[in-house]
Amino acid sequence: MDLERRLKQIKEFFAQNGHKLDPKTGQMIKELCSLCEELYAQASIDFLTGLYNRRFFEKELEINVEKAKRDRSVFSLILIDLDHFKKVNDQYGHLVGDEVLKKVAEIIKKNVRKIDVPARYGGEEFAIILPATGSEGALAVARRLKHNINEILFGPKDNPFHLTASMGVATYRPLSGLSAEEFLKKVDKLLYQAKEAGRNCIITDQEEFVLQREQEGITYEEREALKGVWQYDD
Amino acid sequence: MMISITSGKGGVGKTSLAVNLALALSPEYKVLLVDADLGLANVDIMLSIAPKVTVKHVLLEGRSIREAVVEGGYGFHVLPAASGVVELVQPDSDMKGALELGLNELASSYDLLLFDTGAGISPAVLWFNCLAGYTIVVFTPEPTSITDAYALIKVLYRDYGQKNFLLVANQASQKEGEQYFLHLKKVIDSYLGANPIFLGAIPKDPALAQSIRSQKPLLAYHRETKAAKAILEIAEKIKSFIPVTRKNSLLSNS
Repeated sequence: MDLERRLKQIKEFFAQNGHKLDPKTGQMIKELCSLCEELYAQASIDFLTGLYNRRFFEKELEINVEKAKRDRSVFSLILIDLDHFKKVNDQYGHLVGDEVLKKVAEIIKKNVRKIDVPARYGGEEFAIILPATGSEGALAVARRLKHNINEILFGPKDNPFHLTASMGVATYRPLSGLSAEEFLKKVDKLLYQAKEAGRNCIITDQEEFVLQREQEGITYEEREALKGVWQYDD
Repeated sequence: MMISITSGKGGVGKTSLAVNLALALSPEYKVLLVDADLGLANVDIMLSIAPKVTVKHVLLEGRSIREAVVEGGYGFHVLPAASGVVELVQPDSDMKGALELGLNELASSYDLLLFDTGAGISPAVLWFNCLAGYTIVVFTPEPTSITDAYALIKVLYRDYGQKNFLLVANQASQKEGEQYFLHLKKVIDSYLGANPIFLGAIPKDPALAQSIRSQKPLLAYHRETKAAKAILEIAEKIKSFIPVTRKNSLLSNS
C-alpha cells in the first residue's frame, strides 16, 4: 500500500467529515494523523515492498563511499528499472502494478546477502548496494536477478504476463575520487544506456576484459609465462 | 616519504632486510621502522627490544602514536606492533583512519618511514602497501615465492593503484637474482604494464642466519660479509628514491 497516498486520503476525508465527531475524538484523530506522518518521515522502509526507501538508500550510499575511500576498498551498485511498467499500470490497474513491485522486491530480497542494501529507489526503479563486492560479483547478482525476473509470471492467473528489466551495474573505486552523488549519476547513465540499447539488458562500467581479469587471480597464460622465470637456461 | 617492504610468500627475509636497511640508511636519514604486521610483531624480536607501548595501545586504548615510538638501538626509531593480538590482524576502518592520521603525522618528522608488512594479500597488507609511495617486493628463487610475488604485484597494481615496485631477490647471487628479475619483469611488463625496478640480490650467507639468531642486525657488526655488502648496495639504490630535503637528519640535529 502506498502509505503516503493513503494518509492523504484519510486526511482529506477527515477534513470534510471531522466536524461530525465529538471534539475530543476529533483532536485525537488529528494527532494520530500527524504522528503517522512523522513516523513516515522517519522511516527507512518502503511500505509497499518492504525494501529500504530512497532516503535510507542515499544515506547508505554516502556511508559506503566514505568507507571505500577510507579502507581503499570497493563496493558495487546495481540500478534496476522494470521495462514498460507503465503499460502494466495502464492495462491491469494500479493494484496489479503494486503486486508486481512486491514480487520483484521478493526476488531481490531472496538474491542478496544480509550485508547488501536493497532499496526501492523510485516508482519502478530498484537499487542494490553490494558492500565489498567487485564488478564480477555484482554482475553475477545482476544476471541472476534479471533471469529470475524474466522467468516469473505476473498478473492475474487467467491473463498472466512476463516482464523484463534493464540494469546499470558499476563498481565504486576509491581511486576515482567520485562522490556518492557522482557515482549514482554514473550508474544511472548506465541504466539509461541499457534502456537506449533496447531494454532487457545489463550495462556495466567495465570492459569485458577487465571483468575477466577481476574474476581470476593469475590467469593460465600468466602462470605459464611465470614458469620461464625459474626454468630459464643461461 | 614512506616505503613498504612486502612479499607474496612469508619467510623470505622481509623483516631481516627491513631492520638492516633501516640501519644502513639511518646515519644519513632520520628513519622510522614501522612494524606493519600489526598483530604479529617481529621487528622487536629482531632488535631484541621489549617495547612497553605498542601500536596496540595506540589503536585500542587511544594512546598517542608518538608515545609508542622507541629507539631501535642502531640509530633509527621503531614503531612496534603487538604480538598475538587478533583484533589488529585486520584493522577496521576506524583503526585504519587513526593509523593513517598518525603515520602521516610521524612522516613529517622523519625522512623515511619503512613499513615491514606481513606477507600475502590480506587487506591489511594491501592497505600498508598503497599507503607507501614505493613497495619493495622481496622474493626468493622458488616457484611459490615468485608466483606469489607476481600475484601480489598484480593485485596492488591493478586494484590498489601502486605503480612503483622495487624488487629484491633474497637467497640468490647477484647474477641469479638479475636473471630472475629480468624474466619476472618480462611477465610483469607484458601482462600488467607495471615497470618494476631491480634493487639487487642478497646471497645466502651463514652470517645473516647467525645474526637473526643473535637478534642483532647483520650490519651492526659484520659489514664485510657477502650479504652485508649486498644490503648496503641495495640501501645505496634506495637513497635515490628518497627526496633530498634532509632537514630531519639525525646528523644535523646532533
